[in-house]
Amino acid sequence: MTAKDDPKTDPDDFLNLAAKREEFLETFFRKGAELTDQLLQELQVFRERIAALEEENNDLRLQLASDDAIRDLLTRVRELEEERQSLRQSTTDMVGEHNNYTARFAEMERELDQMANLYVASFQLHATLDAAEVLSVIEQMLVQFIGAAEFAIFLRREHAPHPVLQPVHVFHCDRIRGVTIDWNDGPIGEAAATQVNYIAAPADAQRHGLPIACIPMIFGRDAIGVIVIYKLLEQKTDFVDIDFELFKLLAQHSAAAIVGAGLLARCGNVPDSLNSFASL
Amino acid sequence: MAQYTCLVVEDSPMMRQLIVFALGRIRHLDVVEADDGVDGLKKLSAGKFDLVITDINMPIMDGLKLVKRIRTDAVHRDVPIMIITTEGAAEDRQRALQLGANAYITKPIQAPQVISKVKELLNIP
Repeated sequence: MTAKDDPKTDPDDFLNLAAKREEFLETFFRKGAELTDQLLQELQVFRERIAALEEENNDLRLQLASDDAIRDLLTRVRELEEERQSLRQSTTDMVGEHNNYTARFAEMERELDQMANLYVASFQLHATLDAAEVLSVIEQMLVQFIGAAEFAIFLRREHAPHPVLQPVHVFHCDRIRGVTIDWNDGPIGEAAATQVNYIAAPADAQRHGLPIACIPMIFGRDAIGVIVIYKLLEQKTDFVDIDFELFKLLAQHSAAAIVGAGLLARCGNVPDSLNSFASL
Repeated sequence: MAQYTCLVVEDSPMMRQLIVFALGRIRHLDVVEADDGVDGLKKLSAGKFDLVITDINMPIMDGLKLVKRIRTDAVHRDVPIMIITTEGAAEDRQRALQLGANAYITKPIQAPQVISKVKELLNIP
């Protein structure tokens, strides 16, 4: 029996079957191709996704490294900031110390200046035993060192029942010539009686025509006279520290210089210096 | 060794001594002293000076006449001159500066002020 005779192998059926097989195969391969295409596309997507993830991973690694670097930098910045603060503090301390030294240097300059004034004044005051020269030195001290424009030197004169004060040297204040002041009368007499300096505010005293300063000249326990300042030089508006030191020096040394010169004048002649020392 | 020489013309021995004392604190500065303007001119003609400090009120020849003379002197006409005086009026200062003084300081003096001005006139740092 042939296939043609077999009902199960009917040619038409065979043809149909072949066609179906062809169709199936075609469909199968087409779907296979489509699936392959789809797989390839998905593979491409995955590849791209992997590439992107790798790139992202690299970025993250870099960022991590960068974060570490930033952390290091921040630590360094903090250290530098602390160092800067420390240096700043050191600089501030040094500036303070420098200012302190500058102030001390200025203070020493002032003191040296005062000492120079006092040394020169004292030296000159005791450099002569001539009464007129002693008065001239006092005058120079008052004009050149203190800045007095008008002044008078009063000396004590014994007079019953109380001593009086009379001017023996007048500088630019002729109105004082011939004046006699009672002991303990007014600022001049009181300065002599109390042996305490009288110092007024220059502007007020000058405005009222009163003495600005009355400096008693003290020898031993007694006041032998008073130096009276009536007016200061135009550029001198007030007394300064050195003036008060000079007043002390005048109070203590001018009297001794005047008394010494007076005693020598009473001797009548000036002894030979070397011989007089040899007899000591 | 002195680099500069200064002539101090002042009739008051006290003030002269004080000025010399102050100038002694400037290194390399020699000081020559004169009693008045005429003495100052004599000392000037006998030497070479870098600075003259003078008072105004002095016997025989005052400081302003001395300034005038120095400004016409062939050798010292360019020497800086500093006035140290009791004359504090503005017109006195103006007159001295017009005559050729370079600096004007009034008494009573303060040593730091004098030292500073001398250094300035001599260009000493």
